[in-house]
Order: sequence, then C-alpha cells, then structure tokens
Amino acid sequence: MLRNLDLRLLAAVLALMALSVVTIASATRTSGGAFFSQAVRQQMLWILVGLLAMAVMIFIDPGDLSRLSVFIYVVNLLALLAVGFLGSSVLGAQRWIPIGPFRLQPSELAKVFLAITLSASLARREGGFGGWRSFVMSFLHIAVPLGLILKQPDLGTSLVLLAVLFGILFFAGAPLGKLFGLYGAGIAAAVLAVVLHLRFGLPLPLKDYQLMRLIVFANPDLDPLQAGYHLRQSLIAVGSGRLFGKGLFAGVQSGLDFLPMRHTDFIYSVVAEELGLIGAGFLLILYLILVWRAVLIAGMARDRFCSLLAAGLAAMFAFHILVNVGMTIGIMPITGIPLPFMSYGGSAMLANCMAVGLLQSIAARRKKILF
Amino acid sequence: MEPRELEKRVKISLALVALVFLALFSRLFELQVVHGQRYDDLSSNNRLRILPISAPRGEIRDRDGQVLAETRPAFAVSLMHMGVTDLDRTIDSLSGILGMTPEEIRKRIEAQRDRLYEPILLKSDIPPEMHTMIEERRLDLPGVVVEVRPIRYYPQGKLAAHVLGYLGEIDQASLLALEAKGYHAGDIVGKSGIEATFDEYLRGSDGGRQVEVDSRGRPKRVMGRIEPQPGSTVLLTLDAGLQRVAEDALRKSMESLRTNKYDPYPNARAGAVVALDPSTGEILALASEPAYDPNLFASRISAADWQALQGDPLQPMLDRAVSGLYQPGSAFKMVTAIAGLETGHTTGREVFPPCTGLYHVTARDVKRCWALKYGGHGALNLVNAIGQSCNSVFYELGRRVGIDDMARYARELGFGQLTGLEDIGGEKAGLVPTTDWKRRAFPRDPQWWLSESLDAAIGQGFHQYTPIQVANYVATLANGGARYRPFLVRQVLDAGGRAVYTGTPSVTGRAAISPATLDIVRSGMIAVTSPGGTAAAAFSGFPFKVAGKTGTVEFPGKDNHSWFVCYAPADDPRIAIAILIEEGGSGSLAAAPVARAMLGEFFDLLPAPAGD
Repeated sequence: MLRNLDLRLLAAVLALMALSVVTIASATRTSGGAFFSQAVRQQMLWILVGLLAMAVMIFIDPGDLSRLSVFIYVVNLLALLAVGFLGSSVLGAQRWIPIGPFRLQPSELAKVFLAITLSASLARREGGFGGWRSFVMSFLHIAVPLGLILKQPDLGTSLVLLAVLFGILFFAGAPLGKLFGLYGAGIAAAVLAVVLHLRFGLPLPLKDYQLMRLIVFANPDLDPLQAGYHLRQSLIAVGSGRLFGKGLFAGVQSGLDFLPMRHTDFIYSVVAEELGLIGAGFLLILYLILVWRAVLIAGMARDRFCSLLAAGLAAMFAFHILVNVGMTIGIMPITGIPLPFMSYGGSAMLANCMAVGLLQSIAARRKKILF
Repeated sequence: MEPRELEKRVKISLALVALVFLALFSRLFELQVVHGQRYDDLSSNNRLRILPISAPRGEIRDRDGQVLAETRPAFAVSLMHMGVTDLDRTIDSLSGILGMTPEEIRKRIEAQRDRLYEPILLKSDIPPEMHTMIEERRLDLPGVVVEVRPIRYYPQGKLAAHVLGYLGEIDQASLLALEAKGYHAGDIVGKSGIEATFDEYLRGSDGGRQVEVDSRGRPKRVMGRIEPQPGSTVLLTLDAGLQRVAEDALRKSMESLRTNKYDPYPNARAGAVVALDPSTGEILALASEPAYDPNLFASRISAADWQALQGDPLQPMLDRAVSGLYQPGSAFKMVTAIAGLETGHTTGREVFPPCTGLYHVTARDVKRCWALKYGGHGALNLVNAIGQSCNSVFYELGRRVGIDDMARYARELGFGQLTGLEDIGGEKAGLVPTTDWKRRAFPRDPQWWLSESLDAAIGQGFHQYTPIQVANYVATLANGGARYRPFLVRQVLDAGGRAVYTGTPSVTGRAAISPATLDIVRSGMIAVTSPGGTAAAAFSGFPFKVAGKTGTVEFPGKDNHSWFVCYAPADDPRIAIAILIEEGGSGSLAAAPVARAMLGEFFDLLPAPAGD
C-alpha cells in the first residue's frame, strides 16, 4: 500500500518545510544573532511534530474517520467554544488556548476537521447531490463553527471554511451553474456592502481597521499609516527583489524592520525580496504541485468520502495560497491567513501536515487501475 | 457522481488552479521585472536619508575688517517622533523645561506630519541652563536630541541693523523662484538688507551625512559624508567707527531735544543719516533710528518680540535712510540757486531786494522769511542768501524760474529718481513736482499756483525725497557734478579668500550744470558754516572748511523736521553727509551737531570743547 504514496506531493511538502526554516531564519535574524533563533527552533519543532502527525494520518484508514465524524464534529465545536472562554488575546484576537506549554489554535484544526465531517455527511447521502436541500444542509453544517470563528474575530479562516465548502460541493456534484452563481452572488453582495458602507455609511459589523485591511489593496493611500503602509512595504520588498533577489539574509526591508509580520503572514515577501522572481516563482511551482496533486488524488479516490475530503483539502490549500501570496503582491485583501508550511506557526503546521497525511492516506488507498 | 462527470470536474479544477497560479505569477513578474527598478529605488529611499550638516553662514565685516555679523554655535533641541512610545509624557516634560506649551510642541509635530522620520526642531538656541536640565533628565526624555548648530550673531547689536538686515524662514513666493538654486523649504535666508541681497554668497552650501536608517528613522550606519561649504565673507564699504558715532550722535541729539528745558521737542525720536564718499559713491555710514536688534531674528523670533516690533508706531523695521520720504526744506535752496543761475534769471553778483521778513506774492498773499523776528536779512547776494538761508531771496528766485525749470535741475541732481543703490532694497524714488504732474495728480486742482513755486523754491510743498537722495545730491555738488551709484559692498571673499565679487564705483550721470554755477553755490555752502552762517557755531574751531546747509521743514500738525547736509573738506571733499531728524526743530541746533561729531570721528579730530 505504501507504494502508492504520492511521492511528488511528499517531495514538494518537504521542500516547502526546508525553505520555511531558512526563510524564517532570515526574517527573524538580529545582527549578531545565531541562525537558530528562537523562532527557527520552534518552527523546526513543529515540523517534527507535524511529520509525526502526517505519518499517523497515513496509517489511519479514512473510513474510520468517516465513522467517527460526529465525534470529531463535537470535539471541534468544544475546542472552538473553549477559545472563547480560555483563550488569550494576542493582537486583539481571541484565538489560542494554552495546552500545557503550547498554544493551540483550534480554528486551524477546524478547517481539517470540518472537511472530514462535511465530506462524511455529504458522502452518506444516497443518490448523489440533492439540489438546494444539500446546499442548505451543507451550509448549516459549517454555520455554527463558522460563526464561532468569525467572532474571534478571524475573518480569514471563516473564508477558508467557505472555500473548503466550495471544493467539497464542487466534487459532490453540485450543479456548476448554481454553485458558481451562489458564490458569485455572495462575493457581489460583500462588495456591494463595502461600497454602500463607504458611500452611504451603511453599518457593517467590521471595525474601521478591519475594513481598511480588506480594501487597501485597491488603493493603498486610503490608509497610509497602517494597512496601506503594510501593503506598500510588502510591494517594495517584493518588487525590489527583481529577478535574482538580494540574497539570503540580505533583505533590507525585513532586516531594517520595514516589513512587519515578516515571519508570519508576510513571509512570502521575504522570499520574493531575497530570492527574487526565481525563488518566488519556484515557491509557486512547489505550491502548484501541492494543489495539483491534491486535485488528482480527489479524482482517483476509492470512494465518495475520500474524494470529497481530498477536494476540500485541495480547496483549503488553494485558497490559503491565493489569498496569502495575493495579499503580499497587492491583489488580495489583507486577511491574516498564513502561508501553508512557510509561515511561522505551530497549529497551522500541524493542521497542514494532517491534511497532507490525509491526502497521502487517500492516495495510498486509491482505486486500483484495472487494465 | 459518474466517472465522466468526475473526470470533467477534475479537469475544470485543474484549469482553475492553473489560472490562479498564472495570475499570481504574472503579478510577480509585473512587480519584480516590469517595475523592479522602481521598487528597488523605493527600497533604497526607504532606508537612506541625508541628514544635513549646516554650512556656517559667511561673515559681514566693515571696510576695515571689523565683524558686524558672524556665526556662533548654539544648542538646538529636536524631537525624534518615530519609536517614542510615551510621546505625551515626553511632550509634557519637555514643555516644562523649554518653556513651550504642549500645544505649541504638538503643532510643530503636526506641521511636519509627512516627514516624521526626520527630527522635529523645537527650539534652536537654548541657554546653557536649559541644556543642563535636559541632559540631567535624559532618561525621562526618550527621543529628545540636542545638537550643536551654527547660529547668526551680530556682535554689535543694533549697529547698522538696516544695512545688515535680518534672517527668517524662506517664504513660499521666494521658494518658488529660488528652488532651482538649491533652496529648500525651511531654509533660513536673509529677509532684508545685505543678508537678503547677498544671501547666495553668505549661505554657503550645506553638506550632509548619508545615513542608513531603520523604520524608526534611527540612524544605523553612515554611508557617506559631504562636507559643508562655509559662506563667503562680505566686506562692506561702511566705516563701523563712523557708523557708531553717527548712531550715537543721532540718538544723543534726539534725547537732548526731547529733554531740553527751554524748548523741548518731545517727538524727536526718529531720524536718518547717510554718509557717502563723493568720489566713489561708497556708503560710509547709513543709519536709521529707531533701529531693531537683528539678534532677535537669529533663532526664530518670538511672537511677542515680533508683535512689539510690528506694533511700534515708530516703525523700527523701517529704513528711513532709503525708504523715508521727506521734504528737503532749505537744504533744497542750492537747487533753486542753480536753476536761477543756469536759466539766466540771476547772476552771482546780483543783490536781491532787501529781505524784510515778509515777501508779497500778491497784494493779499504774503509769505514769511524766518528772519521776520529779526527784522529780515536785508539785502543779500546769492552766496550770502545761501549762507543765511534767506527765504525771501529764494521766493523771488522761485517766482522767476518757475517750477518746471527747478524740477529740471532737481532731476539733474538726482532728485525724484532711484539713486542706483542695489546692495540693499527698499529704496523709494520720491517725487519732483512739475506742472504736468500736478495736473495729473490733482484732477480737482490741476492749476499750478505761483505760491506753490515759492514753496517749492524753499524745499517745501510737494517734494518727496529720501535721505540717501539728499546725500547723493550733496556728494554731486561736492565732486563737481558727477552722480555716482551709492554702493555698500566692496568685496565678497569666498572661504578660500578669493574675491568672487567686487563693488566698483560707477557714474550714473553728469549734472548739466556749469562749473561757474557750482562754484557760486559751493561758496554759499561754505558761507553757511562761516561766521554769520546758519551753522557757524556747529563747526567753529575746525581745521578746514566745511560746506553745508541747514534745513528746517514746516509740517502742519507736527514739529519742524531738521536737516543738515554737508561735505568736507570744502576744497577736497572726502565725505558727504545728510542728516535728518523728524520733528527735531531747527536744522542747525538739532542736526548739525551730529555732522560735527561724525566729521570729528572721520577726520580724527580732537573732541569739541565742552559747552558747545
């Protein structure tokens, strides 16, 4: 069975992990500091834990997960509720719960858990996709967790959930016209709401700074000291990398502290500045492999549940990449979602490794091609 | 889902994925290749700053090298805004030490809102005690920087203030005109006087340190350094010793006029002195009272001081020597005499009808000569008429010559025009009345009346001249008819001692007056300071003859203005002086002593015996 592991996927992920360590080392360097800063050591630890989790997921049969889906759903919900009560507030958001010496961010794991439970729920349904009923049921399935995440507030991760939903619905057989229409209408409504807010003062459940971060990519001068500044610094970092980059550890935007959050959300800017178009492009290719393989795995899965699960995880990765990279290059709103495997952060690394583990598990057990 | 549908969806997904990544890659390409250079420049600009090193301003010295304006080191307090966490606390602490209100400090910060990475200057010249206080409380004042800056200093205080001028921040209009020459917003430039006209020489060129800074504007590394070029030194034609005597004598005379027990002139508070070299046009002294202290402006004049200067009714900022317009009074009589001689209306030998103190213009219109109380001057020739300043003789001459011819000779002698002085600004051209002018200026009374000619003949009426015009006129008489352009700057030497500018004498015109006429008029001026003349007492005991003329101008509603003009020595003139005291009364009593003091200084004479 292990023979059928997707080696290309594995190689891409390992390459990403290695690049992550190096880039974080650069992004968090201090003059005279060692290569292995605190952040680098942490990240390496999480990579280790993640690889372990990945291995565990490979050996679990996806069918078992399907059977445990209710349990998983409840645990997920409890974890999200716990954040509200036990969580600590960093950067004004309630996202972590402390577990022993570690901090766990349940919303990261929620993405994977909900992919599992939603896939199970839809796969069980007899007779394929059930029209509007299935749409509504699926949305309700994620509604409560989505609400809890939105309240943290974590708009970015909420949107990821909607992306996961999209991926699963897509492979569940939802009529394409209705699916695109629904999501299209949702996006249009959001844009309309923002425009109405700006022009006519329509009240939005968003704070000013949150709104600014969302729209500043269209016009950085709307908020030149905060979000606009952020974006501008990122563009300067990326653009000044040019073809070959300024060299590892030589990025001035980051080294001189011009680019905030460079080891987390804006880590792609660091790569672009230091390794240029060559390096940033190579990184995009690695991600392309990741998503491409995930989609193919969804197509080759042995059963409906595996197919939907793989599709949901593929959508998850694709959305993260699109929005995070897009944000650093100024074509997407600033939403604070991390770059898979690259951004500094343990919960995300764990969740992504579990996702890859699940993908490998599905791949390893794929339909045998009959000649 | 059936396999075909699944396969189709897989293909669509892959296509969408490819599209997304293509979009990301193209944008990357756009940023890094298409606009790469631009972002690279922005990245450099982000982190490289030029911190200017001020160039010391050039000195201004008198003709003998005495320093009138220089630079001295001053301590300036600035605030580095970025990176200061508890700004409010720092502002509050600072306001107590500096004596600025927190609002004033915040306004400075606000004004520099778009350049917060540069230090914000709060006070540019703090006394040593303040410096000590700041140093002691360093830890409580994060972001506060004290640096040494050169500051303008006028060691002689108010001496020659109007010549030197004052400094201030460059204004919008000038900035637009001068930006091409390297001036920036916030530069301190000369606003008046030599400081303004020769600003480009005096300012030198600032240097700078190119520094790599972090996002808080904190310097990390010095990348390079350009040394500042000190400003050039301006050498004036002024004689500081003479200038001081002129200003002191003027002030002393005015004070004694105000406090005189028998005949006080309480409004004698303003005046002007101009002294020229009649053979070159060099200005040896130029004073205007009251004056101001240019040191007030050296480091951002306080609002209170500025208000005081602007609100003072005596206008200390006004340079009366070049901008003040006055009637010349009897000092004008030489012009009338010249007009009479040149137009053939009189000769040097004529003895005029005796002056009784009254002159009948018509049966009803009678004008007075000031000698009325003495019964009139009696019969005088022209020379004595000048020497004793008899109005009757000049009324008669005025009647004979007429205003237009008088005006012609007045213009020959430089009246009613700019003298050509370029080294400082503010000069006014003044006015010589003519029949044409009156017709245009007074549409309701266009007729020129005979009595107006008579008034004009004794220097009253519509005349409007500046003290420097009057001085130049005397200098022209002294040198035989050549009108020189008055100038203040002999040379400008750069930091290496090379002359980059030299002032040269230049003749702007020759008065079309015959030498014989000038002789007669000059004799008249010598008669003024000889026994019997109106200024005989002032110059008794002088080792040489002084050619002069007193003037007393009647001004309705005010006390008379006093004039005295002279040149000396009469046979070989080396200096020509004009002195004006507003509301000083008699020219001989108020203004002549000032000339005496100046000549004493200039020719190194022993002081006059007490009791004069």
